[in-house]
Amino acid sequence: MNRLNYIIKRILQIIPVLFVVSILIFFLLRFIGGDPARLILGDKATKSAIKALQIKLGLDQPLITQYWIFLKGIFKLDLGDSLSLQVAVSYLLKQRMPVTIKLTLFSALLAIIFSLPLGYLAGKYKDHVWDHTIRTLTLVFISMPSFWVGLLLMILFGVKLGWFPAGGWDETNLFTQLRSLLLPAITESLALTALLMRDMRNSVADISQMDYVYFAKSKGIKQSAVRKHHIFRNALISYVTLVSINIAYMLGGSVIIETVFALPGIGKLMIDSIFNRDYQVVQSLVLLFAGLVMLVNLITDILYSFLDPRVSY
Amino acid sequence: MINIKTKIETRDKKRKPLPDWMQKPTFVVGLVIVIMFVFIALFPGALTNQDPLEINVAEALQKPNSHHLFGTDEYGRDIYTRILYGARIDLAMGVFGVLIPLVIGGILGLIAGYYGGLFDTIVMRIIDVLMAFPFTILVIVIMSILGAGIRNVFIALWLVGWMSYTRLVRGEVMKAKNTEYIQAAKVEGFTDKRILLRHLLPNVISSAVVFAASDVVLCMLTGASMSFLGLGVQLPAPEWGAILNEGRSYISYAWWITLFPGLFLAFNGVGFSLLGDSLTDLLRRKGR
Amino acid sequence: MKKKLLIVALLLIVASIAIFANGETEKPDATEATSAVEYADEIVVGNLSEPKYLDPNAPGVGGAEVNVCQQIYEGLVKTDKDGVILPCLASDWTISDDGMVYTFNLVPGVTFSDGTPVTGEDWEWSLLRARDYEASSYRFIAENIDTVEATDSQVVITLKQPAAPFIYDLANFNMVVGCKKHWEEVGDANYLTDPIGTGPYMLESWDRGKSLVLTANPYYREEGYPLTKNIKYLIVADDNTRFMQLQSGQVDIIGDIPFSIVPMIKSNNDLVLDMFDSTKIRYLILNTTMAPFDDVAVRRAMYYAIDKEELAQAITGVYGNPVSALVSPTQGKWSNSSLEVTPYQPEKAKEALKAAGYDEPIKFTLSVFSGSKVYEQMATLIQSQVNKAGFDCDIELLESAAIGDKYTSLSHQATILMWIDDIRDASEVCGWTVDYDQCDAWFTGLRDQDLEDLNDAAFKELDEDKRVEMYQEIQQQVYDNANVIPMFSTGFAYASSNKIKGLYVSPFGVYESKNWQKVK
Repeated sequence: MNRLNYIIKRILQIIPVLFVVSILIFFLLRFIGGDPARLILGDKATKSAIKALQIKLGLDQPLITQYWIFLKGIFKLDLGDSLSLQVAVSYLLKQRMPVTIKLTLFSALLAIIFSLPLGYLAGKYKDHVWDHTIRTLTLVFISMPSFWVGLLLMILFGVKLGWFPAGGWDETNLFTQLRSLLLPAITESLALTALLMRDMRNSVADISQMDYVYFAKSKGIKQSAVRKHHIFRNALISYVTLVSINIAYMLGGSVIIETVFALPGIGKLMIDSIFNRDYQVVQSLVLLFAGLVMLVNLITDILYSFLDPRVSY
Repeated sequence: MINIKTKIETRDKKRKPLPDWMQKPTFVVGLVIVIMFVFIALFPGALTNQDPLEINVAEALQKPNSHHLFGTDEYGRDIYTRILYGARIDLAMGVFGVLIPLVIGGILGLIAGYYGGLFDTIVMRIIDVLMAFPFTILVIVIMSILGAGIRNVFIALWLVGWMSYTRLVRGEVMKAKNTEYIQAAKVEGFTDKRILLRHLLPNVISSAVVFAASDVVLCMLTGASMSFLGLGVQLPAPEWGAILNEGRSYISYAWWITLFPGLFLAFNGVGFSLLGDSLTDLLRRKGR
Repeated sequence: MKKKLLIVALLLIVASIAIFANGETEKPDATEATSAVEYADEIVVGNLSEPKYLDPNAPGVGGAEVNVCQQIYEGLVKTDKDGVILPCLASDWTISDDGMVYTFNLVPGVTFSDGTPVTGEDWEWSLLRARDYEASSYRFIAENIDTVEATDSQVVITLKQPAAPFIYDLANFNMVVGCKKHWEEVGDANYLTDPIGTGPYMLESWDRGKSLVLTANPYYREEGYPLTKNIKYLIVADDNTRFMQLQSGQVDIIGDIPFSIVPMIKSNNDLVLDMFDSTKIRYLILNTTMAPFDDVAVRRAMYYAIDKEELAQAITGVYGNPVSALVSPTQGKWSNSSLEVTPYQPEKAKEALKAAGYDEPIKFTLSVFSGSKVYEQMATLIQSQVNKAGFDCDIELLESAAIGDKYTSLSHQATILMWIDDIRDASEVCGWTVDYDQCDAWFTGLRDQDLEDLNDAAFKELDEDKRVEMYQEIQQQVYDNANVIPMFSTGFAYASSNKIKGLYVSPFGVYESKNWQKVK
């Protein structure tokens, strides 16, 4: 019963947070200044045309009214229309989301593929040469600016060798899509690889430690086996948790990669919309992302509460 | 297996022990790199005699050669010189970007962890809200509001950076709060303030400092990313991310503008990371 | 056992890289070249930005929108390479002596791309829409129209006042005919993205953010046109990527390329670089409502403090020219050729400032748009030039919205803006520069009533030689006011595969893709 209360309490806590997030992003965006109508109309915009467009877009109304309209839309699950493009935000989402999702999943996959063997090696040979080399390698991964790595990969494999497209998104078929995504996915996976590797290493080191204890104590196979089983499970939990939380973050944090590789994803949409002062798009996307992150955190916490008896409410 | 282990231990005991930190190669390497970085930041003129801002269009876009070690950019400025002079900007972004959050965030964490209650709830809710935003977007929005320029990069870094320290310190304080050591101090009648400052702080600060060491890298990279997006440091300052951004238009044939600033960023990032990582190990070994 | 796993994993990785890195994309047509020249069915254009709408009277029409709309919609007349007005949907026309009534005879039998014939009602509705659609940035082109009366064979336009450039205005991209019935059927919001015109192409599909495909209009009135069945626009948001896609054959044409890419194109034998004459000029805009540029002497000192040659050379190589007259030399006689480019003389600038009473270097901030390489380069170079000539300049990079705010509220000191004329006439750029009410005299805040009156008179003057004189005078005065200082002109830089024929871009930035062909 405690656990159920805990879950309900957590779900209820999400709502006020999302509420505050919506207020924050709404007013923060207005604080940036800039006139969306003038931006839409461009260099030759006359004052009267600007005024007319402002009225058309509802930008002349008091802020509270605009906020209320936005909020009402969210309750109806209507994300509104983009200011500059006059298409539904949901349409833009449908257009761009697949690219970001594919990129994120691909990056996560690469991170898992690389972190598993590397982490295993580092943990197995803890404190020896392999461990140090691999740990230093992954430190290097985290320390490199992602946009630099991306650019270098693009120069080498895209320009000089021509093996991959140098940026851009070729939607023709799955093969071309994967080709467009490989270099960006490698770039994005570096940080996650490092994190996962370290986690894997620690888990494997713990398990290996157990082997010593098992031999040393010989106190009964059952007891050691149970302990080992626990560590195994914890290792799995922490690894999977890391992956899922980071996938959630990568979905919203792919801005730089998408910019460098000119991928039409959600990150690029968000940054373009900020520059265009397309309030509706940014507000809806930020809210969506916040909801997603909170959901993932909630699910993670719930899983933890089931799996780790030490967690108390 | 066991026998080998015990053999190593006894062998160590026989030798005169070197100080812990010297035994660890990663720490030494990291320290050396950071010291080099600081030196370049403080005395760029010692390593070059050219002007980072001098424009000489006739020498534009030269490959690396004897006169220009890393080549020139589109205005004929020496990349090597610009990178050297840019070191101080990136170093400042890393170090000062972390210092304020460390101090302020740490204090907030101390108070929130120790006293709990309403203050704690408010602080944690604020953190929840802020962390719900995608990190990059939040920084971009803040930079858009404040405008570009190095001073605003700092403000943005501070506004976004304090949360990790608060959570970290708060967590440590909450764990330490219930230890016998602190309970004993309370029983003995020490004031809260004294307990906070003299008993809790020294214990919790080490993990925060260690986190700070690797956070320096993150701050540097975030600042460089902002310049890369055109929101950070103002022209013609030779900040490394800005140089990278300038080089983007020419990556097809002037790859040197992109390669070298990134190398320096990566190299210095590695230095700080090694430092931070090995500090973790060292402090763990000391056994708190 | 574990080691084997590692080896297998490594092999898998290598294998997958090998699979992916399949080399260049296959060309879709692998047919052998026959003796007769065969042409492809589709030409791909790589565009940096996507059109927001496909109605030339929609809000925020810019280069992307104009170019696509030009392939779909047509108007009464059009301009040729030399600026001569040619018939389009009108076969001939007469202008009344007082210049107020224009009568056009229409080409018979023209239909829209859905088969409906063009009626007089469509013409009336379309031209008045160009004038009245509130959110359009190009209303000013049609604002002089008083009434439009049209039958299926004739269009009569009466103006509110005589306007010499009106026939050129009619050649502009927004003075086109649209289908009123279609608009009534789909509603205004949908009409903006669902175009039906009389032009050589019609919209086949539009995948927002990714691509847009035009296909040949089956009802197009010119036999044998368009020459290529499909034109596909790929949206590629990065210049480097566009260029690499051109290299690999994924796209055939890219336009408005940055000059940094030009050397790469010239060194590639499969690519062609076209530099089309344009009216594109970049201008230094000085705010006359606050220090230091409220003093005309300081503004005039700028003529000596800026090295336009170096700007043009460094930024555009051989493809740019320093200019000094407000109106582009590409506009021919309309441009004031007697105004000369002042060479860079930093000492003279310092003297001029001293003579005006300034002993200290003059501090000011040059605020420029951060998203464009050219603006950044200009700012960097100008800063270094003027700082040796008695000024102390700081650069401020602002993104589009922020800089827009700044200069529309006249809180800048100096900025750099660009202009491209849309019609073969001096009235556009001159009008914009002197119009105080609509744009604060191009954001310089200079109220010069005499100049505005002169501009109004020049607009109405029907005698062309007199008009030319008046615009020469306007340019001279702008030169003396030194609030808007032209820097250099550049052409429209297009790069294309050498298989493309028929690519031509007018000085106003528009092209006719019906003439394009791609050799297979």
